[in-house]
Amino acid sequence: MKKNRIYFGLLILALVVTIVWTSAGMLGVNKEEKKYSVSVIVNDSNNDRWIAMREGLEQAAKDDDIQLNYVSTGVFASEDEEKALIEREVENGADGIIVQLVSSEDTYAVFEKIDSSVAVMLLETDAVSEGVYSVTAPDNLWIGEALAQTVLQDYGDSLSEKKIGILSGNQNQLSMQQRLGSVKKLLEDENIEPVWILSGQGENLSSELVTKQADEPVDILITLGNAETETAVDYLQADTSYKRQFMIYGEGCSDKTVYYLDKGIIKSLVVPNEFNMGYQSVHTIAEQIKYKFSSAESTTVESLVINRQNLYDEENQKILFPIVQ
Amino acid sequence: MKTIEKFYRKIAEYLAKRVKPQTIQFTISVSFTIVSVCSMGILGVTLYNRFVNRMEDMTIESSEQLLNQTAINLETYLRNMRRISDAMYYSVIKDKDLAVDSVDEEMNLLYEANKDNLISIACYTNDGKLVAAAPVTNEKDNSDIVDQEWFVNAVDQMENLHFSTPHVQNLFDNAAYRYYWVVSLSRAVELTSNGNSTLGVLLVDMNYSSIEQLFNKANTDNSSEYVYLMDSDGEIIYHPKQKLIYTNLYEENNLEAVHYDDGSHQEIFQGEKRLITVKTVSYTGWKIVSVVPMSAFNMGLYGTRMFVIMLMALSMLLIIIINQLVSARIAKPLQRLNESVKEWEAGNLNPTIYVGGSLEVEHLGKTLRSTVEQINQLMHDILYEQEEKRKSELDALQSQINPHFLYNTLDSIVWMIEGERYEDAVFMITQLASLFRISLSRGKTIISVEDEIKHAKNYMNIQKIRYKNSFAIDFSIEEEILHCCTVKLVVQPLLENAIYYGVEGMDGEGEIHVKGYRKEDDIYIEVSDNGLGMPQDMVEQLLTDNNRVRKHGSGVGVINVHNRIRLRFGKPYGLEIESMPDEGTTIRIHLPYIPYEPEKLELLENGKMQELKGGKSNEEK
Repeated sequence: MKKNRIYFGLLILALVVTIVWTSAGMLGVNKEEKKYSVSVIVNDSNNDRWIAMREGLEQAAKDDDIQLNYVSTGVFASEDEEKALIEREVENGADGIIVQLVSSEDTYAVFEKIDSSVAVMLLETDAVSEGVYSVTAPDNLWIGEALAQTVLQDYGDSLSEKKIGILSGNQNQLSMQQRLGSVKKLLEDENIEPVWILSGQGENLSSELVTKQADEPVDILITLGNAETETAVDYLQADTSYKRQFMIYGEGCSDKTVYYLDKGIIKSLVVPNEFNMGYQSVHTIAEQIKYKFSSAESTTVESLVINRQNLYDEENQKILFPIVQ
Repeated sequence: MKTIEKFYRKIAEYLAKRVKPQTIQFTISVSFTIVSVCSMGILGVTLYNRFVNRMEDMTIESSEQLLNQTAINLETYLRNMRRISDAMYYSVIKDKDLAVDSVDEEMNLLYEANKDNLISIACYTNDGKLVAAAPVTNEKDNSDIVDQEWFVNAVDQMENLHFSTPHVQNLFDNAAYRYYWVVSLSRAVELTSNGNSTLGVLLVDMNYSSIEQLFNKANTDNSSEYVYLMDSDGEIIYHPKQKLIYTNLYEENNLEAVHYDDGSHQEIFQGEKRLITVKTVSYTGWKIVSVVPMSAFNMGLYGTRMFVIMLMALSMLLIIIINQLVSARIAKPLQRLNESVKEWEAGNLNPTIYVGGSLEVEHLGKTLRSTVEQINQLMHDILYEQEEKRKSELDALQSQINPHFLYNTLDSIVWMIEGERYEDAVFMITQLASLFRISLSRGKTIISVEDEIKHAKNYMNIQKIRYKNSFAIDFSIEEEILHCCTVKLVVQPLLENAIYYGVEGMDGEGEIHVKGYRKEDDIYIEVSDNGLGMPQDMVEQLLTDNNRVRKHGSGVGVINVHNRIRLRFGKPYGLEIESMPDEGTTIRIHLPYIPYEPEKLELLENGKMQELKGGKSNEEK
């Protein structure tokens, strides 16, 4: 009898538990999951070069249900400016920060006020102390190698007679250091020394280029970043003599660089898969936020070497040209 | 048939062995519960399945509807494009001699009218030279027109219109660095120049964004359901995750799906079960595919499933509670009836039998009640009969005494008369007369202790004469017990014994003491002598051995007295004997203290000692 009573009680208990569980389940159905917010801070955010990456960012934000805050920025004058922006975003409740560092040195100072619960993802360039933060970047060493390799292939033995200049961009960034390093190494292997290497960005670089080119004209100009490539193109376009002073071998991803490749102004363009970079960075940081991973995860995106001939190849156009216009 | 019977028998045997008998309430509630839970379960599952099937049908229906709508929109769009191409060809190009006329105006007009959906309209000669284009822009210097897919297709199959897959337009120079994704509609045309007709290609580049927008509308829903478009070779034209597919971050099963016929299919792709609906767009052979992952479907059903389970659990709970109530209502009267029977079993001869509940149980209760009454009556009758039997036995025992004693006494009297001791004889006869008067007591069995003692004294007077005062006797009886009841003729046989076995032949030294006293609810009458006494084994025999042969006296031993007392008053009463060889014997008569009153006398006479006792204890209470 007692046993029966126990069984009966258990049955009733099971039913009550089932009812409670199902009602909780029904209530939970309509409850919206928390939407995490991720802020993206890149240098000169409205530059055309970010179009493909933004497309990737937005696609991943949609897929992973992330509220994306693409911070509108100008050209950063210093890392303090960037630091202030990061801190402001975290204060405004960002669960994750995707940032393109202005300087890869002393990242500790940049993130010193950031709580460890905020996920950080570095874009395009790692910090000097590698492996501390998650990174989504192209293989920068490979980009440098590809640029040098293309130059070597195009000129072969005649290269020794040519003068090479390099626009090395923001050398505070590890990515630029790596690109420059591998270009130099490959050239050195062939006993070729660049005539000059210009670093820096913006107006200064343009005027410096004008001066340098006047002093020591080069035949080949290797540009290591999108901005540098555009500077080089602008230089040639501004040259009223229309005499092609140098061949540009550069890295770039903006429509402008592609257009001038198409026009033949740029000889060869190394294009990182920016869409991929944007997508992967948001996707990875979303997972880190949702599942509270704390280990640094680095993702490498591929890059393509494009020239005028293979620009319209089916596979290349899929990556080069953003669909949304 | 036999095997079925055998099977049933086996089951019955198994159940009989395994299932122990349970209470009615338990059996009813358990069987009801099992039946209702099973039926609820079956009902719930069936309804749920029907619901799921219906939902599935509805989903298929709605995705087919969406698909049809999208197909209609797309077809309309493509038809418009074809019309542009047709209008351009049949109404403009065919009518003009290109050497004389220009088609620019008409082309521009057509372009302007359809600007939203078009990127450009262009007409080329068969060697790739531009004839006319709208809007008017610079031609690129490095685009190999004749090698481009749309051109090759148009020239290869001249009779058809050709829709290309999306690609980036590579025809005109755009100083704003704009590159357009287009779907090219190309056809071979006949160009007339100076009356000579040559082959040319008419190209209408549709803005890919139009197609994209058209499909984005179909994919606005937030669920994981989506629609994509591919050409007849499985090449993707539109996909909500097109860029991801291009960069290998996402995969689609388009190469499989291209072989599906129109309609709904189920497939497993990357371990995920999906519902695929395919619709082929007329003329182009493009296929619109709608994908509904089953997981999305299940997510939508989660709430419903919870609801069904909750509903089932709730109704089960309700049914179980109702079962409990109903079974309790049925079983309670039976349980109460059973309690009554248990009370009866436990020895209560007058149990309160429950009468109530359903008609059947009430009838059972009534029948049981009357049965109990009948049994009580029967038991009473049996008791009465036994009492009667006992009385007659008693009477027989008493009549056993009389002849012995009479014989002895008359013998003494004869002996006195013979010895001419007439006075003694007269005394003796007087005593004998008193003795007999008390002995008879008008047929009563129960007399007062006073009479009994008087009887004993009469007897002893007779015996003293017979034995010439060879022993001494004294009576000390408490006044209190004189008016109590006793079975008659109990002291006399003990005195007889005391004389014969105790003091006879002791030449005046023999002493007999008769003592009567009360102790609590009992009275005791002791007859003690200082005679020979007897060993313990003989003492024990005295009250047990009925067949002992006596040498002296009435021939009726102490066992007779013992039995008579016990028959009348019950087992706790009777005789107690203490004796030591050479020291004497004490026989104690143990009787209940019952005052000598007419009503009690009557009960005792009728052998209803039980009732007397009950009455007594009730009074005490």
